[in-house]
Amino acid sequence: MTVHGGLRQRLIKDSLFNLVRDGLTDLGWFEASPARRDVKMVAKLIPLTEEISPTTIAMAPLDQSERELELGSSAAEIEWEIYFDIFAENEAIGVHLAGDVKAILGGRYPDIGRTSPVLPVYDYRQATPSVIFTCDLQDISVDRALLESPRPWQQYWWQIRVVVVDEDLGY
Amino acid sequence: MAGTDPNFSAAEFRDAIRFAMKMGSPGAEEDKATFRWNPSRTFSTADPAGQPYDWTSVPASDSTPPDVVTDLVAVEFTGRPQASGITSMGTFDPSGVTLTILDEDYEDVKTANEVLLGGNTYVIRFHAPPTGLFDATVHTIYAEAVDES
Repeated sequence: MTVHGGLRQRLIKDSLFNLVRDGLTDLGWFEASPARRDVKMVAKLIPLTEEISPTTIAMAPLDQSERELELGSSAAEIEWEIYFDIFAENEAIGVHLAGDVKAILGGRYPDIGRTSPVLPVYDYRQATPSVIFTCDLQDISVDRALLESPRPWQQYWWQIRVVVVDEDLGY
Repeated sequence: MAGTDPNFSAAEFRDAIRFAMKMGSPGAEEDKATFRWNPSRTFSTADPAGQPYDWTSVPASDSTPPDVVTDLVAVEFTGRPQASGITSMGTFDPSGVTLTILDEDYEDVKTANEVLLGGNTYVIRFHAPPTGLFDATVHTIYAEAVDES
């Protein structure tokens, strides 16, 4: 089954969210621990003025660009820039989580089955979602956000950037 | 500090404050404080944010609380400072309101997301730490204007 347009975009976004969430679940990040605060993950861009309780991971889908794949067809390679913001409770958690998210995206975590930078895209409209196509995950980078006057929850803020590459053949 | 005092009647205090609140409330029903909540719906098939993939689908459940219209609240309007306004980057220092409400009435609206006052919508931003007068507790809510019509 092939999906197009906005639905295709949403399934890519949700598959990426679930890929990272499932990976972090396998690594035990969402289990309660006396050594740290609970970790939660949300599928939205959080405004800078909104208070965020550490540790929170927020996925923010941002800009897209595309280029033609071949002459004579509408096939295109669409690049979608997506950020994972980590608002950690301290330095160690921030570094650890950022490293785990980067490795999950980059396919460098064989312990949890991530061995390649590929995103399987699921059709979540189905009762038992199946993979309908894949995207590549490229240009993964980690930025430490340093603000001149950070709010308390912005002290330990990391951003993991990934470019999702979708070859949409248009048919 | 809040606490029990035999010489203080919380019920009489609340009645007197509510009388003053009603006195200051506009007469028209549509101008009274109307507390509203963001939609809270669930769908049989939805994304991680709870939104459906099929926009024609009917919610499996809708637990959005109904609007609460009340005059049991004191409204203090704070106008936009003279030097601020709408710029190319957005609106700075929007007008705001400070809502003061008694404990028993606060329960009905404490989870609201916005309040409609005289046709203008204000987004609730902050609940101040409550203060007390013996057995009665007073809550203060700060909200800022989305738009001023």
